[in-house]
Amino acid sequence: MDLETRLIHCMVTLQGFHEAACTRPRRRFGRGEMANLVALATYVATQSKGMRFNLPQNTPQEKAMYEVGKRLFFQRGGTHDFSCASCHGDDGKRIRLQDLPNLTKNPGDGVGFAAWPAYRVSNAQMWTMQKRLNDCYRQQRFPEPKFGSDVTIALGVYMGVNAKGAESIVPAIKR
Amino acid sequence: VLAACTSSPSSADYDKLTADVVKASFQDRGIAKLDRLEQDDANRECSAADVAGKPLDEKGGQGHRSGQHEDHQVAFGRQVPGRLERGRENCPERSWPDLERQGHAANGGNCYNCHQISKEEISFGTLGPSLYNYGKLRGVTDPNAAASKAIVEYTWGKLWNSRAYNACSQMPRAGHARAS
Repeated sequence: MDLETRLIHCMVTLQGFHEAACTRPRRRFGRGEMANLVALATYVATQSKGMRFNLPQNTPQEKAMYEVGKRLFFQRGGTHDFSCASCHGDDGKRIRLQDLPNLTKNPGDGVGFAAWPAYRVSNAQMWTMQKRLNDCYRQQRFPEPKFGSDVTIALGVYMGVNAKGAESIVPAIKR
Repeated sequence: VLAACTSSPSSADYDKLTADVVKASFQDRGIAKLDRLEQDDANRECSAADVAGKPLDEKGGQGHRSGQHEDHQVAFGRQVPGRLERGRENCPERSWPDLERQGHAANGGNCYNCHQISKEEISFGTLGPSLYNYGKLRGVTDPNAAASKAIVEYTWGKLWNSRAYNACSQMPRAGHARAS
């Protein structure tokens, strides 16, 4: 589980929420229980502000999710043959004028994985990593990853482990 | 799913696990259906090479092996997004799917997202090489002249199917993908 799925687990099993109310992202990021989930995730993540990423890779399950995440990161497909690595596999690249972090390694303090959750000025919303990945896949012209699905967890593990040593600056501000 | 792993899984085990995870994780969204996850040989081999950290040979062979080259030769002359002689105006901001929804079947390639072309457009990306003075550097002053035929055909082919020239080019196959 990532932070958001861990929160949902507690909301469902301890507080009695319906899972669908928390996890149905279609145009609902920022609405209803999803809004509360984003706020909670932002609050909890901000407790780690200033700390450096050091994701564990001690168990077979953690290692497996890293290996799956790596394969997803390089998975080319869709109408344009894009993978995550198309934009995030090299140093110093940009799309139009937007700088692109290299997520195959530690891209630096407060960059990439260490910058989320973040406030997106362009649409006036807080975005968590689930929303960030959902929108990356949209831009890749891929179908949609289900909220909290193993694809999103594995990519989080891959990026988080790669970001070892990067300082979290959450809550960040983004374009 | 993870419980199926042995204590020392192989790369093939992780490949299988990844396929299972993909199958369980995605859903259709609008025009983006699950079939977009199905990889052709070119994408499968390039993805595997990236995971292994061993890039395929950049030029030539791979494109032929996976039938990419034949595809673009058969298709030469069909319309790609934009026309060479109209240059800059064929590289608008809008993406191909957006244009398709609006009924413009082939009206722009989003070139500037990744390439510099004209100095007048300062908002260009750097994922691809600069194409500033692309024709001039290749001796082309009139794309319709007989002397320009080879480079014009190469350029058209690159737009139609970039992978025919460079097996794992990151550039979308503008014609090939929509033809299939």
